[in-house]
Amino acid sequence: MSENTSTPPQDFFLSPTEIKSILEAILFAANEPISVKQFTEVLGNVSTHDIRAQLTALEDDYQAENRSFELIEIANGFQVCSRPEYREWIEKFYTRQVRVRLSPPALETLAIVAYKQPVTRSEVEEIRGVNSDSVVNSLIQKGLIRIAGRKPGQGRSLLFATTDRFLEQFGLKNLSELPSMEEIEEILHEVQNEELEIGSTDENQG
Amino acid sequence: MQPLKMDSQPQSADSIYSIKLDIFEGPLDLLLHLIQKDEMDVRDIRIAEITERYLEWLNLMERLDLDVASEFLVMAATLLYLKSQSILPSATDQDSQPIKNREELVKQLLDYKQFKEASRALDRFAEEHEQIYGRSVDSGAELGDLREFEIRATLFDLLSAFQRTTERLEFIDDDAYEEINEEQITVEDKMEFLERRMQESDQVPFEDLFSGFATKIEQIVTFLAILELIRLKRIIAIQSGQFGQIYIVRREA
Repeated sequence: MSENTSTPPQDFFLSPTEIKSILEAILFAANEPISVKQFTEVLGNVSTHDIRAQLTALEDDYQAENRSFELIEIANGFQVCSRPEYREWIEKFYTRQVRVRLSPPALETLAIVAYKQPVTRSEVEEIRGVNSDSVVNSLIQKGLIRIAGRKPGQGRSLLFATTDRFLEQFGLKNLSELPSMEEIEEILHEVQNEELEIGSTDENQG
Repeated sequence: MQPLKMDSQPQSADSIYSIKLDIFEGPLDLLLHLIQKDEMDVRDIRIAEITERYLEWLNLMERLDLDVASEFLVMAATLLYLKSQSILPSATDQDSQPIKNREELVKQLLDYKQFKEASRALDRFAEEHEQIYGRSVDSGAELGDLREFEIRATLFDLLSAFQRTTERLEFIDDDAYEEINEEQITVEDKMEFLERRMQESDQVPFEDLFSGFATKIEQIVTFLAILELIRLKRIIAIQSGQFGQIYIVRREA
């Protein structure tokens, strides 16, 4: 870009290429997914449609140039992320500790909230068959679920729903991407096959 | 009796171990675990058999002085009721509707199982998503924090593995409790021992932590020490697949 100015660009006519560059700059500076709404707020009179079109163009650029990062849609927004094949190099750089995921009780509570939201604590407990206070609290602490209001009527119990951080951490674009029953079955089948492989190598080593 | 000192845990007077673990797993978890272990179909559970197993486990948990939630006892009552119904089919259920009937229990189990499976699928998503990194100033540290989570193997997986290492459930007899007092092996000592052991290698098969002990008491205390270290988030237990090998992994401070 040659004609850089420090004045806000709202009053100018922005070419598609300029829009694309602005989006890229924001994505570069941001450290979390940015929603189309957030882009619209920054870009003023540029339409949602144009923003989406330029995001797609950007995505295509990265692909065409075979970059080591890509533009992904996640948690109701967009984010630039490294491609999976570079994972090991990044982890060598960060030397991260062992990755540990949620405990099974926390995961299953999270799944109940995700699929049945908004949901009350007692509804969760009915399904799990056990008191879930501390599990629910720890999910709130981790920012994976939030209080989403109160149930109308008697008792006015708190309702819980998942957060954008939940979508982010589980790599989901939005809630409609939660796997269906059939998909769950497929995924578990896949996991099981892999586990069998791991199991057999375990035996070979032991 | 020399009372144990576990940090941050209040002592209960009649408890030898004085460990109060937060058990987040419920009775449905245990039931499913037992059903799957026996390769039964949820729709077709053999009540008498499963009731017996369930009670054995409850007994084990109580003997280990784990804090068994009241829901576990309610489920035990339900199972015993259903068992009595199946033995005495003449006893009509018209008048007695105190607890769940069989269909209700099966339905509850199936519902629960569905969410459990969904949670495993979600876990898979998280695992896949971990392969990519977003642009952020310090994503390594940030993501690391997000994932300071407890155990992947459930309490029942650990109990199963413990049972396997010690051969039989019935070994925990009352004599063992008395021996503990005599020998003064404390959970604290074992925790220290285990932590030293974990300094040597980051990842140890669960069974290996029990090898070379002369007495059952030592094994019991070791098991409790492992649970306590998990609770304190110093180690984690991971499992390679359902009913697979369990590894104990040291956590970074």
